[in-house]
Amino acid sequence: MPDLNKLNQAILEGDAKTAAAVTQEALDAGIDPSVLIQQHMVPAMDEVGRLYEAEEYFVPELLLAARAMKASLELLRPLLAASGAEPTGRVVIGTVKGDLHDIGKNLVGSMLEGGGFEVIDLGADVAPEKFIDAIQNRGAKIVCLSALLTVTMPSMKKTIEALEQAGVRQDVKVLVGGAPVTPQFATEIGADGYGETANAAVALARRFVQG
Amino acid sequence: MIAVDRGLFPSLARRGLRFPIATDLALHEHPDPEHARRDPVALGRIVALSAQRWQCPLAIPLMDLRLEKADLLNALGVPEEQAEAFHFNERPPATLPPRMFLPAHASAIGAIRWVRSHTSLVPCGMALGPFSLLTRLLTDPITPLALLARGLTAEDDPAIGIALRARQLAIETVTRSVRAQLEAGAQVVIVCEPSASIAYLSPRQHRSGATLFEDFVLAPNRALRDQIHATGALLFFHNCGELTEAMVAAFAQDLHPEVLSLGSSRDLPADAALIPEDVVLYGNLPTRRFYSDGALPVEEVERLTCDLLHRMRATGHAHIPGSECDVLHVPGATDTIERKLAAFMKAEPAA
Repeated sequence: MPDLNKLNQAILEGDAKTAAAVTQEALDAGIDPSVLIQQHMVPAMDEVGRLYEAEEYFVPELLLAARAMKASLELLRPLLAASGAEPTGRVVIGTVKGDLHDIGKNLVGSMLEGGGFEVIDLGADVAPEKFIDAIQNRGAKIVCLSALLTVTMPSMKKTIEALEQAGVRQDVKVLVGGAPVTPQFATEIGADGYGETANAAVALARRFVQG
Repeated sequence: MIAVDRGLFPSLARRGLRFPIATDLALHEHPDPEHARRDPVALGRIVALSAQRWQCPLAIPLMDLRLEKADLLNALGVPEEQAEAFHFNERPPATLPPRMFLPAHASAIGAIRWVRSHTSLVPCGMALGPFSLLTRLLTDPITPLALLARGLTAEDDPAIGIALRARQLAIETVTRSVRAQLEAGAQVVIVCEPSASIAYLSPRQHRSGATLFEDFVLAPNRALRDQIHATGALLFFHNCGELTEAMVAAFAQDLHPEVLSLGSSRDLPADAALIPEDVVLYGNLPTRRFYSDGALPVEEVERLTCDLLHRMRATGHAHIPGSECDVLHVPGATDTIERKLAAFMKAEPAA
């Protein structure tokens, strides 16, 4: 029987090689993939988020932890798909049209994956139509919009307006974030939430899913 | 003519100079900003107009931090319009072939020349720092550097090899850009390193003995400083990223620029204790939020300015009040931004 605490530890330490090795050992021992995710991987990523909030961890540690989590998830995904298991929720994320910055967006995407969400990452400089497509054709229920520049923030508003015009706004929750974005701005443009940090974004997404 | 030597910025600070870096606003008053960006004479006039508006003796260029990346990629055959979105997915070549500067870059250099020959302003250059350029060349610059900090090598992960090669090309490209601006007559060079922050470089890495900050940030910027100083020009080092005290101290004490410009996340009066006396602090009003009255009302700008002036004066440290970064033109928010800049320029704490 593998020591599954090593899986938590590997994720906490951002050790992708060990995380994958322990996951494989666990699968070989017949442990249910959902047990690995719910009892070990998600709690480990929650702890990573806590350490980040406490300024014990910083972005690099967070990304390495997410990378370790992904290394495990890659082994589990085929098994989860075969069993018909559903993710916590389905999120589409992207940096809005005109903005090429993607570090913050990547961070939020990684933390959402770590939180058990399926993440459809559209990348940077994303036109509103692509978000609409992800909602209509890929079942995204949460839309995360990122912007780093004041000059591209109006694209967030335009994206939300495009969702309304396409008739899909009421089907999704819209979460916005990025360095110049404020809670007031989020309210002004009609977003459902504002995530100041990656961790806050995950917490909000969980609240959205729970209704 | 203003004498440009190490005493310039302390003298300007004593005279009560304050100004925002806001050439982008003047650019967008031009009927065709994109054309003006590529016309050295038009751009030179815009730079001079902006200096005149803020009663600033420095000809602060447009903070166009796309130029060096476009130049580097142009050398590798990537079209300018694709440069911003381009990232290396495989190890690039070790050196770059000779090439001409692209029109916008040539125009920025030409504008320095125009300012030098047509005005009495101090011609200033501007360049993206080598580390920040490196981060723009990679899809994910953070992970390979974090792995490198843990002792992994390019053999362990190809992304590390790409990052190391990109660093080399970034240094070469920024050096070339700064050299051309110095040759055009720049007497001050503003080097912008916003990525040299805790978003990319973790304090944990530093505490564990990793030398990323030294190898990727300090050493290349020291070389730039020496290149700038060798011509008698001055270094205005700008970093509006999230920094630790140790990073601020390293920029001030190790890099030792003539001016250190920090973002609004820093408490400048507290930082003053970390800064050598001959390093003038610049900044750091939260100008990124000027576009919105909801995010930052004009009264708050007045209050913040007065507070900053009052507290900085109490430290006795040389300080030029200014923006936290460049004040960008935001469509539909021009009046709002201008109103707050006017408030910033006028605000004075009660005696």
